[in-house]
Amino acid sequence: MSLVEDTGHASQLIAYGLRPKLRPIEDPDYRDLVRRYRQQDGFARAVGAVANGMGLDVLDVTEAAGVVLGAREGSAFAMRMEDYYRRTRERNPRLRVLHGLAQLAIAAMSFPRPDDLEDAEHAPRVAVNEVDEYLRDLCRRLDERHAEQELDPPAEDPGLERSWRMYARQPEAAATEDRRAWSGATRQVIAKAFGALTEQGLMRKVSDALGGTYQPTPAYRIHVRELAHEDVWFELDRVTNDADRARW
Amino acid sequence: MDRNQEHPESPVQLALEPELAPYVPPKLDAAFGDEALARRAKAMACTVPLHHLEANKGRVREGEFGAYTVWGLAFVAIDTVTVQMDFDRGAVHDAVIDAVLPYARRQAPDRDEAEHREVCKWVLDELIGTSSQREFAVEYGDWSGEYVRRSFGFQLLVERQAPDGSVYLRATDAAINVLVGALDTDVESAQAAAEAKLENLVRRGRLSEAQYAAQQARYRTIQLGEFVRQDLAATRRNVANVDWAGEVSPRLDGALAHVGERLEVERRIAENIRETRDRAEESARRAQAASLIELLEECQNRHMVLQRKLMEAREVFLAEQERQVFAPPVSVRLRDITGELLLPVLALSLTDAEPPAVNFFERVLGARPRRMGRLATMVAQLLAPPRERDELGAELIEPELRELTPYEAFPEPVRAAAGAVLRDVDLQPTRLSALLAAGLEHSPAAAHLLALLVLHAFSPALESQLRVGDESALLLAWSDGTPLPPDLRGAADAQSFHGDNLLVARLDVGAAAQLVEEAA
Repeated sequence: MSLVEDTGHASQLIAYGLRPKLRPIEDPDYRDLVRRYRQQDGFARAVGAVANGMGLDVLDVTEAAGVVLGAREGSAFAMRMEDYYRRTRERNPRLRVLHGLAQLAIAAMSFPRPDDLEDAEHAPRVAVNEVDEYLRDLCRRLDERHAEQELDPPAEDPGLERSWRMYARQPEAAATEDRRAWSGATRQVIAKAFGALTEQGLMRKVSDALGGTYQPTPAYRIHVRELAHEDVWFELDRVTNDADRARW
Repeated sequence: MDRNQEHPESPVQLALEPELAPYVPPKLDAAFGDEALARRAKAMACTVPLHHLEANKGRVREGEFGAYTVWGLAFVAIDTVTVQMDFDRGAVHDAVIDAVLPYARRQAPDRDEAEHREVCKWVLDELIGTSSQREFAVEYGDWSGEYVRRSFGFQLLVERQAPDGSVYLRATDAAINVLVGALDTDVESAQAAAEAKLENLVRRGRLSEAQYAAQQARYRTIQLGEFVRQDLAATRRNVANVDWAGEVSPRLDGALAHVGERLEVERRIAENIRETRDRAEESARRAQAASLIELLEECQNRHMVLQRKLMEAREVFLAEQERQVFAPPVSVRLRDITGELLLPVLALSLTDAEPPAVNFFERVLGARPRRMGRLATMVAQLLAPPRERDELGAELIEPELRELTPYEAFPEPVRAAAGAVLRDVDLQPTRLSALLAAGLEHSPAAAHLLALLVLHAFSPALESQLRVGDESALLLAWSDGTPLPPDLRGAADAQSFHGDNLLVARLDVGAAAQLVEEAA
């Protein structure tokens, strides 16, 4: 195949990857391109180059999940949190941390042990209510662990409040009359987090039980595994207090 | 701008507040006049000398003793004497003062030793009551029958003389009961208060209130049960995440001790209630007592279940350890998300937590395609009629309807070509290979159809045709053992034919039948 043709096919494959809800089993052309990627090194390299040019990383290519793409920071395809939830545009960190915690907790409950990240068969069911209870349980334990410390932030700097204290204070669910509380209610935040994941083909809704029960797709495991490797967490190690990170 | 949210009340208090049960107003008709009032007045009386100490410390020695909390020193003195009483006949003055001195020193380190000694001596003297003839007297009310004011005389520390003439100190029962026993209570313990309330109510025969109090005493147990359940759930989820030795095991041990105590207390209370029930004459009281016993029995059951779970908890831990096999991690860089990502972020301040939390959020969701506009099409799109959208916002796509054509394995031209080749077959036998070659000139599909038709002719239903009286010509195929030539076993993408090179001929059925008849 000529260079031009190869490049064209490589771009096609990337384009398929950008439609995350589509799977190779549903489209024969997609499936053929995936097979070609897995069988021909040259083609795989071409795909990598095209992705690189677009600011994308090819995290994995399988017949089950298709092309799993990650967007690099600054890429045209990266979505910021404000693009999902306009209210998080406010500089106040509270809402942003809340949404971030929801995603972290969903990942933690989906892959409780490090080995689960490598296990293709591992597909637990995770529910909105369970994620909320799990987070609140962690907050309680952190309360116990830090019982002797002064945890109220100084009045002029509420950003110094510990994140778990903020989470514990949020109501679980709030009536819609008070629209302000509604956007911060924890179960609604978690439900939104699942919604975003489903949109991106990373979760599949299984039932409405327990506030909504979901199951991760193979692509989700690949994304989380990738993130768990990230070097950014080594920075986190430096920032946090060792005592906080000790086994609880 | 975010409104500052008010802080909730202290979590400890709220944890034990009862669920919204129906409000039981206290009975106001019951008589309060009983010994309990007098008892408590006398107990309170025993603390009066200590109150005097505190009140007067400013008046002695030009207020020098104001720097000290003399209650604390008094308690130390009484404790010292009480302990010495068990080991020996009692404590001597100097020994007691020596015991209290370190406490005085710590209270006012900048004062001199002489003053410390003075304060201790003064406290001890006051406890003995040297300034009031070694005795205290307090008034209390006697409510039994007509109200009478009585005087209660008592002592806290008394001096005794040993056979050898030396003087030693002992503490009275009053001092021990009140100042060592009754006052030594965890005033904030809601559980103990609830239980004390319950005993009190039962003793007074106030059963409805006793019911309410029993429910309150239950909450701590429920809370404990909840903690244990969470511990076990966390263990099952990921045994590596649980600090068994440092946190969970001590907590379980504490819970076991607590449950043991509670079972004992409940047993005692239940006994009291049974007595009440047996002695009660009104049926209403008996019924109440019975229902209270039921409640207590439920509590006891709950406690016993909890006890069993606690004892099994250790087994759960060991079993989970085995199940979640402590194999070395597959890759050194695999992370325990809860312990290494979620918990650290939770523990950070909001400002510090924001970057990693937002980063995780944005990265985990992957890439999203961008919608790009094009002026040429944009105008047309803007002018187009609105598309129907369903509730989720996606476009409703009109389904395309196509006519269904019946599926044909061999389309018309192929069938025509195969038919043409076969038409040429007559009485003279023809080889299948020749037919196939002719068919291949048209298309592989025609040759395939020819092969099938010839196969079908291999065993024609001659009899049924004769029966029906059909004497039209019939295609007949038979084998003489010759295989098909190798060139027909074609290339990879062409049709390949294997097997016998059948001979095909067209039989005139009528003529054959006639021949057979004539032969017969």
